[in-house]
Amino acid sequence: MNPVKEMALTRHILETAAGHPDRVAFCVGEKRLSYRELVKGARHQAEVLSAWRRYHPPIIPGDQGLRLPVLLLGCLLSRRPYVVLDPTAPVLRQNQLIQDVEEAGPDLPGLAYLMYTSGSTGRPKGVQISRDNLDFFLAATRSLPLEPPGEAVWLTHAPWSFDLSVLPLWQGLSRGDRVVWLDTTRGVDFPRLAAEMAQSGATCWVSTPSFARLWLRDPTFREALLPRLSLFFFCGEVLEPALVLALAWRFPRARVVNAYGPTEATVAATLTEIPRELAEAGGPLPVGRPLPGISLAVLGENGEPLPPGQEGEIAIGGPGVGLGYRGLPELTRQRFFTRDGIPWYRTGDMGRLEEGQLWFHGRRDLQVKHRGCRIELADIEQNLLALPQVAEAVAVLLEDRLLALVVPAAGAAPTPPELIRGLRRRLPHYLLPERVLPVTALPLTPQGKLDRREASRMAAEKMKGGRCDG
Amino acid sequence: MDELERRVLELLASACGDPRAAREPDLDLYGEALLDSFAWVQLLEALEDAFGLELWPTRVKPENTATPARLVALVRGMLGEGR
Repeated sequence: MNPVKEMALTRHILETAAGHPDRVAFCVGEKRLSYRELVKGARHQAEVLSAWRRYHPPIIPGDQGLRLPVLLLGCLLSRRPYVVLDPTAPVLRQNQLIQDVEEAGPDLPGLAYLMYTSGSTGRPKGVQISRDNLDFFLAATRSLPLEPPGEAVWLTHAPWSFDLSVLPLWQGLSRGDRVVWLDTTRGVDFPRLAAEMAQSGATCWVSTPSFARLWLRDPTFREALLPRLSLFFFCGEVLEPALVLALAWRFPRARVVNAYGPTEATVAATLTEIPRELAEAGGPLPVGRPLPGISLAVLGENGEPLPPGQEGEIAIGGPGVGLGYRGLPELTRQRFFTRDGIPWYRTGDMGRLEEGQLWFHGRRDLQVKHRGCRIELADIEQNLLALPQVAEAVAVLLEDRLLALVVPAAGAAPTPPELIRGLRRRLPHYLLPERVLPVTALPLTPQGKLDRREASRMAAEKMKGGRCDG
Repeated sequence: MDELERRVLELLASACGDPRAAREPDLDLYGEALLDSFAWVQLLEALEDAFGLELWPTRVKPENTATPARLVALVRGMLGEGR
């Protein structure tokens, strides 16, 4: 492993602070942080961390407002990786993450951050991304259609514990741009968020498609609100043509870029602009060509690369591929491999390559995307099974509604609200099913295995039949 | 409780997945984090459909939807003013 050298990212930020110290780096609400303040605070933070004898990665709560980039940059300057803790997650879930950071290992040198994602065991798992991964990703995405460096304004709402936030924060700061963060962690206040958007002068919007769709429900969400907006950058879930067309109507000058990639391969591995004509043609949209330096393959049943046009498992190769899962060597071995000296990651996503473009077809396991958030259905199931009133559980995603069927334990008769309350103590918001539906038995296939398709049908029937009866 | 109140509270309880919303008029909806952004927007849409109102997200101030009682009052007020 290479010695931990200075990152190109931090060098760029220090250069901007030296050349343009009063330029605004970061905004939250009314508050502003200049590049001078960012670097001064980060250097101080780095000194503090260097004196810190505890070795595991520093854990930063995600609700530090204006101080957040100071703390993260401080970690990078001190050669330590950061972990952002979602403060809105239940305490139990936060403790699982903290325990994993403190006790699981080994602590690999050269990491930039650990990003925790939903795990099929019911506990979150830590994705390890190196400083080289991050520098590579930032260099590879410099060619986005943006204003000149120093003139873009990035608008992002993504919590810092989601890796979508990595692009606007670090690409923005690396280029000497301004980054505006919409704080949605402190309750829902749409009028305030709209006012902040109006003040932002944003030129680039980064979000999941779901978040844009949510804002489209408001008639004030149009060019007049964000007159300088020239780019929508989407990642995290399927981008529908209807959304692209709706945005073209409201923001005629703005371009749309669709991107794809798992957290394990540093934010995104492919991207492409979606012109209006492509959206008008209807049909699924491509997720893009590989970033410079990234290799793509579509693998068959035996891991053999398939020719263009055939569906298989998407694999990503190259310098964006991370260093596996913290403390989970077996899982890491299953998903990460090396071929001809190049690191690769099996995504578990199904897709095809055609004329150099990648198309996403869906997943073949129990990982789903719900409003752009990655969810292991088994994560929900394991946490339901952890409740004493539950004997069996299955989670399903039914037309964008997350539902669960539960067989109560012998002698127990939990109500749906009781079960949701139990889950609220264990799972963050985005993992909570909309309904938990008690049933007498889960459906099985003739072979005696859980029949998830039938479970989905049962859930659909129950939703049609009754209302929330608790 | 009149029909308007009953209907609003039913939609709210359904959106929260918590029957307390229909029984406790002063329940702190934000403090208890019963609804995230997406759930709020879906609730507003459901209220729009139920009552023929225009309840887009930036039109609704959080203080007017902080409790079930205030949400009922908001809907009643908008209907009363013919909006």
